[in-house]
Amino acid sequence: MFLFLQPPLTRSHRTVRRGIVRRYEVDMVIVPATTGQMGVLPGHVATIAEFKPGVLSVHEGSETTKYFVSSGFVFIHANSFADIITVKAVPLDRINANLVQKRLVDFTQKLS
Amino acid sequence: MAMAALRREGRRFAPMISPRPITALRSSPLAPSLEDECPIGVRYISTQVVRNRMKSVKNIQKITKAMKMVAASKLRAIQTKAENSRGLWQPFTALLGDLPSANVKKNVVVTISSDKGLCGGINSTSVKISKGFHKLNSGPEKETKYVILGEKAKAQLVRDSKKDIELIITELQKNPLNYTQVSVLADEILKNVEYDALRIVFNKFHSVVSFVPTVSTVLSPEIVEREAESGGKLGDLDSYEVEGGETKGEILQNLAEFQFSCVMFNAVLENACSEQGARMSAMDSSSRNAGDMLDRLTLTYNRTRQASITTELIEIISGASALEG
Repeated sequence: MFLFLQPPLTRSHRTVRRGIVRRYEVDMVIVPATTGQMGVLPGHVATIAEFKPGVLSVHEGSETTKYFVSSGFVFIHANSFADIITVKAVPLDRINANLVQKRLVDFTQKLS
Repeated sequence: MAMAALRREGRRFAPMISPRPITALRSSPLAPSLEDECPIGVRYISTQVVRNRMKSVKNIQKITKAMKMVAASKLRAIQTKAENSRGLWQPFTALLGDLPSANVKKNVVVTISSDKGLCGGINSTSVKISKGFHKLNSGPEKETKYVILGEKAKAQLVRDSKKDIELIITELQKNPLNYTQVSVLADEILKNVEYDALRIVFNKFHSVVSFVPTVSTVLSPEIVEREAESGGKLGDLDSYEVEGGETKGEILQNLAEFQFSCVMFNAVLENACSEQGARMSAMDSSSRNAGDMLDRLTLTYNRTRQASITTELIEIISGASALEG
């Protein structure tokens, strides 16, 4: 996932799987960094952060789109551009909760 | 005696004259009729050899045409994937830069090539560039090692650089290329090979007819630090705060590994596209050559056939006139 954030934040999402490049201007992004949820706004200090699997939410005005992302990195540049690169990003509405629970049980069994 | 004269004539020129004028019209082929293949005493004009050649050339043309179609369809399938994966390494390059000129002690050249042949010269160009890099970077204190992906580069590099090869990986495309596979590969390479800089040599796919050999450089975190301190392109790296519980070094390490796997993924896809494109154009020129050859052979065939008919006629007529006279 590769996001550009520009004042107001612009983002481009890129995933390894689909290479969706979406550049859009957003107000805020909440990133599941390893240190916890990190909110990124325009004018954020330049940062490189690694993130753990979690929920990424994109706030555009009053709309919020949420994605589940596997691990990756976010680079926040000084000019309010942010690049988010992950291996996988799935919009939350495409995730079936029951299926996930079932798979979780299966895999935990396989691991132990 | 007319026959004897003709026979003598026949011996002087290449096509031999058949001694059985009655079967003339059937033009039975028995012995080779090409210039250098006529054994003494055999006198037939035979179109068999030419016909055999025409048949085989026609088959070759069909096969190469089919291969071109197959390559075209495979190209379509992976081209979208390759173009999508281009976005992956761009943010890394924007942040860390791609410094082919970085002067390091331990270079590792990752050469990406195909497993199958008949794809034109792309593998040779990759190997040439890898060897060039090796030469450029060899000297006191500097060393270059190879990691080879694909049979074709292996065949070429094993011959003279066997001691410099660290890892050989083949049969990459047995399953359709995906990121998991490439990340496992990248992991293997990073684990087993010590490096200061990784140079990935592959053919970048610009269009169906143009594939440009490219080198992508991934630097190890220590070298990144060194370059950042010395200023230049990476000078801004220090201005980035590194978020995270771990030290900056660890985060940079993870970053370098992630960068390597992303760049590898893109490189492998681009090389696969270039391979299919090169195969398409190689097979296309091959079928065109086969077509030309077929035309030339058809002309020879017709000439030979007409010559044999003419000589048969001559024999008949001279035989008939000899009978009368």
